[in-house]
Amino acid sequence: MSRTIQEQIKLPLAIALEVVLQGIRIRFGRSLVTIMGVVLGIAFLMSILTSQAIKDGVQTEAAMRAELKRMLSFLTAETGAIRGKSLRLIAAGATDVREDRFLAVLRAEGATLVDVADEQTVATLVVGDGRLTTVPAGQQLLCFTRREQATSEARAISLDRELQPDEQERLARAAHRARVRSIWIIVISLLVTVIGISNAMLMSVTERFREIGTMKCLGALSAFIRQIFFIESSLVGLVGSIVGSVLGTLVAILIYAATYGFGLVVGALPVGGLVIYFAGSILAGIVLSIVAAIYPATFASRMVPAHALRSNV
Amino acid sequence: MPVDSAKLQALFEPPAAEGRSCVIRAVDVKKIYQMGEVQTHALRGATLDIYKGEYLSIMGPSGSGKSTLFNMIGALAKPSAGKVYIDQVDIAQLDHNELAWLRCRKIGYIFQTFNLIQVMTCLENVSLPMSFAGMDSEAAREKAVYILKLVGLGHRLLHKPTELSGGQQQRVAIARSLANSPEIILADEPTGNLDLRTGEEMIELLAMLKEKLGVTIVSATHDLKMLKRSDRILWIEDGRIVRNARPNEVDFSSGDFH
Repeated sequence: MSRTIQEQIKLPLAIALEVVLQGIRIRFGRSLVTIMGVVLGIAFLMSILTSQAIKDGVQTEAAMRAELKRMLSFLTAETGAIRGKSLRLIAAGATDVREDRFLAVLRAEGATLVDVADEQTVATLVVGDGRLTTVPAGQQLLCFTRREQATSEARAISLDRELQPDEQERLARAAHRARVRSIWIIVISLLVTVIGISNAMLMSVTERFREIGTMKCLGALSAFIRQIFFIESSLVGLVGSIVGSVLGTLVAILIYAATYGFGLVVGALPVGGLVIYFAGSILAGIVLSIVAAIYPATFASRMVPAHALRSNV
Repeated sequence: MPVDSAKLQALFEPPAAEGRSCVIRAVDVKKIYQMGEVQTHALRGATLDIYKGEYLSIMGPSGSGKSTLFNMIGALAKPSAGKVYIDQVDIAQLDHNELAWLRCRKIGYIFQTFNLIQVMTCLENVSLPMSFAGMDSEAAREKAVYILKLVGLGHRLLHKPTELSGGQQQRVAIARSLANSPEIILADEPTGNLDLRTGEEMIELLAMLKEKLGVTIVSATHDLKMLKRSDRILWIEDGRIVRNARPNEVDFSSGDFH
């Protein structure tokens, strides 16, 4: 008995891509709705992440400003008004952000920072993480921005503040609570994203069961059908999550800018963190879209053609 | 053990009769649909031979199992029991690759409900099976245009099925069935939605394919003109083949046909 039946050829990926692009073009409106499903999910996730980052940043910034104000008032309590006066600056080692900003505050207050003391100098300011090697001579006030170092010849104060144990404990508790709350919110927003994207992908595949059945009757291989849906879902995921991330970030920034003022929000924006969130959200969008398409696409590609033709979704 | 000798004979008899080769053979095909607790016997053991180059019409009231029989002999679904041979190969032995090849190259389907892809134009619908067969898109387009002109839709190439009348959609479905120059055309009520003149044109087209190219045509129909043109008529009732006759042996003026 001669075997006259051959194997169906496997179509190259380029043809699958062509079919997908054609499909997206033809059903542009419907594709847009599916993409919007992904956009909404990812935008929600991204706006939550960005708001968390902005809130943290704003809180840190507010605490920093309060601290700088306190340091300034400590200093002026000893020296009197510093406008028009000069401060001798000794850098013992590397300075941190707080010290840099404090120096900026001093300049903004009208003080000049000098290397060698003159008649306008009201105090010597010691900044940096190192130790003071030579104690400057003279009866001038020595101000340390960090822990006060023992000196014999000069009056010395520290602008740093040591937290009381109960205060430290309170802060640690508050930080822990905030962390738990933000993890909870992120988990919830991830869930919303997963459900939103799965729903969009499920709908877009199941409503095409009949079409899939027709294609199978005309000789499409199951692998080809699966390929089509995977390409389509990853494209939808990519476009949707890029748009969604941008949208979510913008919305979060606008809302916080309206609440706290634009300057504070922009100053508090952690750019490095946002880039990581961005990459994470886009990856999540693509992966979720593909995962959500696996079940219906596999189911559809395995359907007996005659059954698929009858299905009415 | 009681042996059904007719069945046994059908299973082992070489599938060549009347000096012609048998292109489709169904032996005691049964199909049971399970709907929850209820079992529906759509086919209760249909046995038939379809010869190469023959124009076979199948008649039967609705619900008699016609469409199920079409699905079985067209390799679109597996029978619950019994065997279907296409070109003397048991299709139960074929893997999904070979089945896809069979559906793509060997058989052209014309469905009762057309099953055109709604979002594609006529041209795309007709050229789709050609791209599944690996034809390059330019050649496929050219051939699709030619076939659509053949069924009288040369002026509707870029219309979508929803923009066409039922008869026009049916003609697109006919055009699509011809896409890969199949050896067998399975047509479920191919003239059901056509006006008298187009119906006749389509019958002529199918007859011409049969005469000139030796295409085997199997159609479910109540169309008298089609029945008269066919080589053989089978009657199916309640899931069984009950009668087999040539058109000249049939009295078309009897009440069964009106």
